[in-house]
Amino acid sequence: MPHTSNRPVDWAKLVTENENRLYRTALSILGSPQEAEDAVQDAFVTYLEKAPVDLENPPAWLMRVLVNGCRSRLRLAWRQVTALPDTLPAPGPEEREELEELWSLPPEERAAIHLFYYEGYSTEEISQMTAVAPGTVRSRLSRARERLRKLLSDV
Amino acid sequence: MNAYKTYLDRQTLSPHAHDRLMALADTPAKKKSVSLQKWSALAACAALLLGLGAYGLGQAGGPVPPHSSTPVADPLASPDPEGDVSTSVSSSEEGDRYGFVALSGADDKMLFPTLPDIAYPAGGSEMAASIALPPGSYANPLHEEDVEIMLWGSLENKDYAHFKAQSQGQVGSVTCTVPAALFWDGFGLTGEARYDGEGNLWRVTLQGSDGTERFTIEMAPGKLPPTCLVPPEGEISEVNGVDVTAWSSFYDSDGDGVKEYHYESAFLTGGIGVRAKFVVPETAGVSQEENENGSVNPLYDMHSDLFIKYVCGNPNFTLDHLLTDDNIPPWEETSFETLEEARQRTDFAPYLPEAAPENAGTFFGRLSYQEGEYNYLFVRWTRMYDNIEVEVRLPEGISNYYFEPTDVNAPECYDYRLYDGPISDAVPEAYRADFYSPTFHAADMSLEVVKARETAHDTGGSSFRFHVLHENGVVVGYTCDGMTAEAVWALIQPTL
Repeated sequence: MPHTSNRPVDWAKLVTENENRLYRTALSILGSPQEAEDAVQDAFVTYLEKAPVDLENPPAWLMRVLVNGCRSRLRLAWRQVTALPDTLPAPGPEEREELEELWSLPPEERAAIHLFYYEGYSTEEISQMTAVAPGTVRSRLSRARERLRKLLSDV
Repeated sequence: MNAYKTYLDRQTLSPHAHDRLMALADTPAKKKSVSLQKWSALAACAALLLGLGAYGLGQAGGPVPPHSSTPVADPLASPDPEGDVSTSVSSSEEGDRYGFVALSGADDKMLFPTLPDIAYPAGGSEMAASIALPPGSYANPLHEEDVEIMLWGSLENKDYAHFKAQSQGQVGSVTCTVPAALFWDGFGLTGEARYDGEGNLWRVTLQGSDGTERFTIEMAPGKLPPTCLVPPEGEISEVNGVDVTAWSSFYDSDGDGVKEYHYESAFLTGGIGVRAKFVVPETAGVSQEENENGSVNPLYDMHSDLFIKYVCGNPNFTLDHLLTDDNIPPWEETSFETLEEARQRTDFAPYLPEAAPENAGTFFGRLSYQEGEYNYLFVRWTRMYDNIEVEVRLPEGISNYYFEPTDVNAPECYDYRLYDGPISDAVPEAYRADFYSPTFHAADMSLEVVKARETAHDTGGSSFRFHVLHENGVVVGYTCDGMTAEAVWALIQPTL
């Protein structure tokens, strides 16, 4: 398949429509605004260099690259639970409780929760973004529903 | 979730970061061949290694590449895009596993490791059977130190210590703590060490991904790791005195529309059995020019080759630090010859039938327990093609979290009577995954719900499959072939 420049006609539109949702996803996984911004930039650079010409769904492709990039950044910590990081922008009192609940999950599961409940992706789409079987995504979401009672009580 | 959503909705990219993204469109898209980028990265790393006196190659005591007589290129110098890979080899390559070739063009000369000549004939694996884990098996996640010792041999290894100290913060340096000879910079690593019920290492799995390429390496002490796939014949190549069987396949394994090259190998080195699989998307490292010329990136098998080259015959490659584990979670695997024997387990008895169903057939029962993971007991009667099985799962760890109750007021999610034809055709996709064996709250159970789960057994009679979630977290699964709904209900009602 021939590769031409992947810079779309309306680069500004692609960036403007996707930068914040990518940033929020990266922030929910990485916990640091600086790291999240770097991850977003990497995703757009990868788009320019590697996205197929006939890409049907650029936003989903960008999200997939971003999630993989976050996983690479975290390395062995991808499946390890850590405390709510101080680098996160300060949440309000009620927000803190929900964030702490979410952070009781390892990044791998946080990503699935965020992509399903915040972004609204299907389990099939999430399975492709995170490179796990759809059944595994469903299991994780099911498991999280029990563990994240407060966070998901109003879903 | 509302508070979480409100919090995230407030988070936006900084104006400075936004400007950087917009500026990406102001510079011409540099479609430099990724294959040349990889050569550049290899050269930069190799030059760094040479500058460090060849530390980091993880071959303590072994021969080192020349660094006194061979020019070392400036890692920051741009390679000549017109440069060719010469076949000249450094004079000390003979007997040296880290031989180098020179990339020459214009005024630049860069050095990078030679790749072993490993044949990967085309061949796909076929599914054989599921692997049976040893009784009481459990897994510990791999920590960074575990991986470092696996590849360096020891954290006392002077090459490791020197490389780690010298390479941090250097321009163009690798920042990972694995040997640079693997060129895993940018790869995120995860892994686990799995043990049998006596704390003996059964298998180590190491996975890596840089967002484009990925690999899975399985290792076992003393023998090749078990596999559920029947590998093709492959071809044997000798690498550092080790016979390596390798093969490859080319297909789209993750359904993203892009085929990948799968390079697989199996070999035994230093008492460690290894199965490795490196997956590279077709679109990786192929420039527009190469595509138009029908060329193939010569580096698709690079990471596979470098890994094989590094570990084969390398005395530092070890699993010694993982061979045994003392923290064995309590476990039990017990079989029962009779229902009465199984019912002596008082935690399970309230959920088991008091007597065998009529004409049930041959009995078998088993209890499986591992602290923090699972605790279940099943009893089964088998007669010809019919099975009657009751499986009781006590809450242990998060094992029962998978069972999400179905809304009994939404019969479209579980009632066979609403549909004609196979589930895969008739049932809407949204309900399909759970339709085969839904879970009901114990309080919602009734004869009517049991009747809704009746379907034709493929060898005659009826079949029922579902789970019941009790208030205390106990889940009871029912698989009932050749029974009536009333007989199934008679098994359930006393347990409610």
